[in-house]
Amino acid sequence: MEGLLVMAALGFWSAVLAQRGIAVFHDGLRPAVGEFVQGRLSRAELAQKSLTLNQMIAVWFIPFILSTGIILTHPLLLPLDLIGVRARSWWLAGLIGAVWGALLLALLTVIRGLLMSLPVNIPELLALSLTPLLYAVIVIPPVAIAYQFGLGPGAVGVIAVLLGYLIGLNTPALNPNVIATLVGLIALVFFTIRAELKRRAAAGDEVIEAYETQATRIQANLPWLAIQAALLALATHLALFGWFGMDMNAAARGFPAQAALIALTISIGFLPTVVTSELLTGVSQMVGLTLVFTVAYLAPHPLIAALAGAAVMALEILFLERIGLFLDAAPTVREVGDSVRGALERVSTVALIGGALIACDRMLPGGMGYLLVVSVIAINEITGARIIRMAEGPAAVFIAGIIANLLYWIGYAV
Amino acid sequence: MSDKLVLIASGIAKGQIAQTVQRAGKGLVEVQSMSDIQGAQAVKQGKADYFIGSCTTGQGGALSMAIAVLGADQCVMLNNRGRPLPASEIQAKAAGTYRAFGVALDHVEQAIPALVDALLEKHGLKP
Repeated sequence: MEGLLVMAALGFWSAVLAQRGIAVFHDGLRPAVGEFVQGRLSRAELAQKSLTLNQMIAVWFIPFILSTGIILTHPLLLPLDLIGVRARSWWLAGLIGAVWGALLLALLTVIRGLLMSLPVNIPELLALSLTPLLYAVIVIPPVAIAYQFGLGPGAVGVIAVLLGYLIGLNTPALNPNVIATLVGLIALVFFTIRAELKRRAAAGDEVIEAYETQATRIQANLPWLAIQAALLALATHLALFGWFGMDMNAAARGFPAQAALIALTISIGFLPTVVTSELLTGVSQMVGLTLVFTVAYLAPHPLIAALAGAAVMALEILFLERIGLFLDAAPTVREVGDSVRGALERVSTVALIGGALIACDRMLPGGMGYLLVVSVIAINEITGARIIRMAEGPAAVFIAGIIANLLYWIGYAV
Repeated sequence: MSDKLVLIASGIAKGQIAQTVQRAGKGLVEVQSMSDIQGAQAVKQGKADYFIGSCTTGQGGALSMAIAVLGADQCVMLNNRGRPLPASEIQAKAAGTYRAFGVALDHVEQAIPALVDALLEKHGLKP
């Protein structure tokens, strides 16, 4: 019941923020909302524009959600963007938003319960298929180093992470993944600073052309956004809500410190582009500069999570312009952000396909599991990747799970 | 018009884009990897001809900076609702006045060769 209330409150507030043009979640929608609040776009034109955006990505988060029962940002917030930009009044948006938030959680609980009662328990298998990802996320920073700076630095990063993991094994007070993840992040920061210093020595202070910022509009909306952050942090801390499959995967298994570090890693990927997008449009990202998730996972108590979330959002807004100036002066950091997101995608894809093979062999032993997973993935790839690659593994588990239940039903023993 | 097109590869698939452009460009295209804001400004200042941005969907991070710097009328996505555009439509987009293209990570291998080919043809560089 508490959960439904928290999700309804988060849905309500998110939809109101979208309706008033204070914040949207989809990064591709933000420029259009910026034009809308400046009066250059009507609400009807804005609604029209929002239709061309790809919503399918939200659908591909479903397997993650079913495995843990935790709702992720995309399925909650992408539909609320669409509702918010269409609704003519804030209360109507809020009402639909509240219903959507609560409905999503209620539906999830019911469907998950149903799937778990089947002869072959699909959520359990999905969770099993996410196990390799729990460890694979540790190498996101070294893979990002390899993407940005090449094979040599990448190898150094992987070795550093391995050493960190070995040290972690001998530090029983902490989850062994924590030290390894931290070492990876430190290596990423080290190589980034080194490259930026080298760039400055070579190119001098070749700064990015100044642009007119809309920071004052975001600052004026600080109280609205602080409330949003408090709700986000509360829901995340209560394990009702998570950012991506990777941080949620660790949080669901009771590793909040690791979840916090993973969220921080993902933040490095998104922060640069979100900062500039907010400054240029005056429209906030629905989850701010994304640091709220790290704080929510680390907080010792739900109320502290809410307060700390609001405080972090306030700081993000107060320092927004200064962070923007810093990023403009350090273009290497922006490029590393892109590399982190690239690494995130690649690492997840590989780990989830591996996990799918392991889970489906358990479910359909004797080779049929392997056969099904490989055929789903190979056919998807060769026909133009209708399912985004990051979701291939979970989708394959889901499809194989349904087939396994059908086989069970017709009397084939699995 | 110079004898070589200068393209910017940006976003999470910058590596794949740069490699694919190089292969499709057959020495007639120069490609540089950059952050989105640097890349968009390079196009605006005339230091580069076209910007190719990328993200998971080709719609979020891929073009948001280019839209802000160059304006929405200069930017176009090479997909619609999650499906890549067919080569003929990519050709039509390339022939237009767009200077920034957004591509989804999973569509790089399909969309980029068609785009590079059409841009070379547009500039009369096709052998």
